[in-house]
Amino acid sequence: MPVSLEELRAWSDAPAFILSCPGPVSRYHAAIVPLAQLALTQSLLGWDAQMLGFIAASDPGLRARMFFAPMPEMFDSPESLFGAWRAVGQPAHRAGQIVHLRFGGARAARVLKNARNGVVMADDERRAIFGKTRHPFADGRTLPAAVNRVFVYERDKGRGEIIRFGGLPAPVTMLPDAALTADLALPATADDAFEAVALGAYQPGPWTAGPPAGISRLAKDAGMRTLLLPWNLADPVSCVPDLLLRLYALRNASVPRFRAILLPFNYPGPLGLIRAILRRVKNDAPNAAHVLEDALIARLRGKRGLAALQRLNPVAWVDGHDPEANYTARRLTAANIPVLLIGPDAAEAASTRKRPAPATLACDARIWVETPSLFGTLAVDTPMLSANAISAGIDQSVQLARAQRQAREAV
Amino acid sequence: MNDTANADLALAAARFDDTGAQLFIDISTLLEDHWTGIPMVAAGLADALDSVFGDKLAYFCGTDLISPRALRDARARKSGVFLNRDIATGDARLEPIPPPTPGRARVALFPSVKTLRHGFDIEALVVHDVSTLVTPQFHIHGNVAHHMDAIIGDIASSDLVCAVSAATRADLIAYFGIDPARVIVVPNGVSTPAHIKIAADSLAPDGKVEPYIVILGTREPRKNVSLVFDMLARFPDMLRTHRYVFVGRLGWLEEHHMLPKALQPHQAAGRIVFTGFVTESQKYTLLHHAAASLYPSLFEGFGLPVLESLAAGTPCVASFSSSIPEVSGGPACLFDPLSTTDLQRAIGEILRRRQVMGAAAIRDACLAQAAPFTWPAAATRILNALTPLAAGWNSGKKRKARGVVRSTHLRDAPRPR
Repeated sequence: MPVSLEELRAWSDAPAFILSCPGPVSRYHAAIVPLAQLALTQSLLGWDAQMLGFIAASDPGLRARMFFAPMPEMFDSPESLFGAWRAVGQPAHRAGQIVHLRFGGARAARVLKNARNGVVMADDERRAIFGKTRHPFADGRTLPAAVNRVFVYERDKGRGEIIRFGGLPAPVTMLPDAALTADLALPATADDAFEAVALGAYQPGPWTAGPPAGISRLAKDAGMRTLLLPWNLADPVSCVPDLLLRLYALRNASVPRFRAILLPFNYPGPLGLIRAILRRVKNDAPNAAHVLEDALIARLRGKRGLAALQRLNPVAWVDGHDPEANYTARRLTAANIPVLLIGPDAAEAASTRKRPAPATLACDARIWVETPSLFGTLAVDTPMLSANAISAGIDQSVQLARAQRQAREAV
Repeated sequence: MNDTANADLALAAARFDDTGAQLFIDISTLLEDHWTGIPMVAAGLADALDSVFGDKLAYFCGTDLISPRALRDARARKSGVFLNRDIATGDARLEPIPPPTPGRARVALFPSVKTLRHGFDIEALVVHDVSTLVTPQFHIHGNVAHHMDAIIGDIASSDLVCAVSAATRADLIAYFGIDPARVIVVPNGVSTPAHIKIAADSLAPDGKVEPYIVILGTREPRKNVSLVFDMLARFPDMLRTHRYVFVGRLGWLEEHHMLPKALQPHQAAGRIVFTGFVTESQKYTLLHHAAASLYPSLFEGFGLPVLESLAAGTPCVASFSSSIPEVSGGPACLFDPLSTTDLQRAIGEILRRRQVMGAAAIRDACLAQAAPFTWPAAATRILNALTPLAAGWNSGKKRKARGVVRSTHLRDAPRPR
């Protein structure tokens, strides 16, 4: 079922819909571009995927009026908008007439001034994060005064409500399920790919430059179990870096052999976090050389990339405390990748969600994560898996992967 | 224009004086060694207010009053080196800020981040931009922390917020939900001493210099200097007709704005020049003799380099982003700051205008655009807004709650429909 203009109610008269999400402006050659010029480097998860899903699920009448602005916050005066419309070959629309829909979460919500602003959200920060600064948007629960939440993906009722400055209610509508995977149903394109490189071979340059060439290296051992670790780079206190170190610390114990694939999303932006994990592996991991060679870091674009990932028969371990955990789990499940959710209590999750909750790895340890961010140093006391829980999780993953393979073969 | 502005300021000061209030100005931003940007704003406002209030104007830093003589000395030097030293040694420190006196409001003006909150009866804050909030990716963590740590408390504790442009005012309303009635627009001013103008003119009395284009500003990612590099790499013929002179010190996140290898031979040949930090006099001279200036910034609170260019009689090719169109007006040529082709078009257009209209007409148009932007005009706007607040305080009228900016705790948030 396509996203209907009805969902936008009073905004359906807008002559143009400007979409935006965080990302480097240098990839674009104008302040407003047609959707055909979108330049996203990763499209399985995160805000890029959310925006692509929304576009793909929109009806043609809405889609025809959509454009992308790499930096909507730059627009203020009529001159700015007129100049931008001229560049895109469109008749000039006044700011007051247009709608700006922002993807990218509470911390990155931006406003196109004088337009009608909506935030499409998939994040739901519930942790008590300690900030050493008092940045107004550090807590991930406060939105700019001038935005409405027009869609959310999945949010547990009565918990983690995000509010605007001023405390006014923000209208909210659930995004139709169709938007979750609509983009994955689109025809494959030439630059669709699953790109993976050994963690030790990671170079920030190619990663930020755009769709890469020449860094592909899929996992060679087809029979090896693949653990996919989605990593939200916009979540500065993610447990994934610690989890990777703990996983590889078990490699000499009597656990099934596996290969971990880090799948960072919501980048570029805090790409420094990838450099930080490299430093930690080199400094802290007793088997650093092995980790740097064996663990892969990957990104994925489009349908062909997803097919390549599915052939590895991975099981995804999703950080249940990530603000986008619900969306990530649903998206991966919809893409036929089994999910183990790390953290949230299974009974609680089942009672608060309408849909069947994914299998859960219960946390039985805690770690203190402290990291620099755009909002100052943030810290959080977060649940974590012990060595025993990780070992049990790997066994569980083996079973899930086997069941998934059998199901696929049966089809 | 200056005579009118000065007369308006004198009138505004007299009205303010009639309320019996005393004006204090925070000088902490003037402690920097080299004054550019915000220290220049603070100095400009202090100069204008000093011209009408004289010794009635009180200067403070932290909780202490500072000697007016030390301030005047620093303003003459345009440097805080000696002021900093004299405050540290105690030579420039006077007594602590006086306690409240019935019927005599103590009114404080903070030209930037507050060093003291709720220390005065009425507090006015100048907000220069919210770029550290809206575009933190262009800043180092220290900058973001410096501005964002304080901004909520600073705004909430201020009776009046002075945004340097309508764009910044709109940002404050859009992001923080401030009551629009509490935020006024106070554009920055620009002033160039006559001796600097005379010296600049005397360097080339006939106005004939080898044609060049100036790119003015600290090199940092937000200033988008890399767009100029991209354009020159794409259209290298532009370097044959004009030199490109980058004026300003190297800022932060250098990897985003270093000269690409392809252009390094042009630097070696002198067609691309980096001056580094320049004095006010050198800056005016460079701007004054340039064929045009470029300002490709991605986000601004005001756009002082655009105004400085116009005040030097030189047209500006400026980004259409944020507040820049407010400042640049008709003599400027605006372009899309993400587009090298649009930048090339805009440069071509401004050079054509020069040929068609003549250099003198262009210069007059630039000076006319810059003329209303003066420090007396800025100080007048502030005083006109503060006077009713001071009068209300002195008459014992109950003041409005200051904390208009607030965020609501999750438990108090209304349920969405």
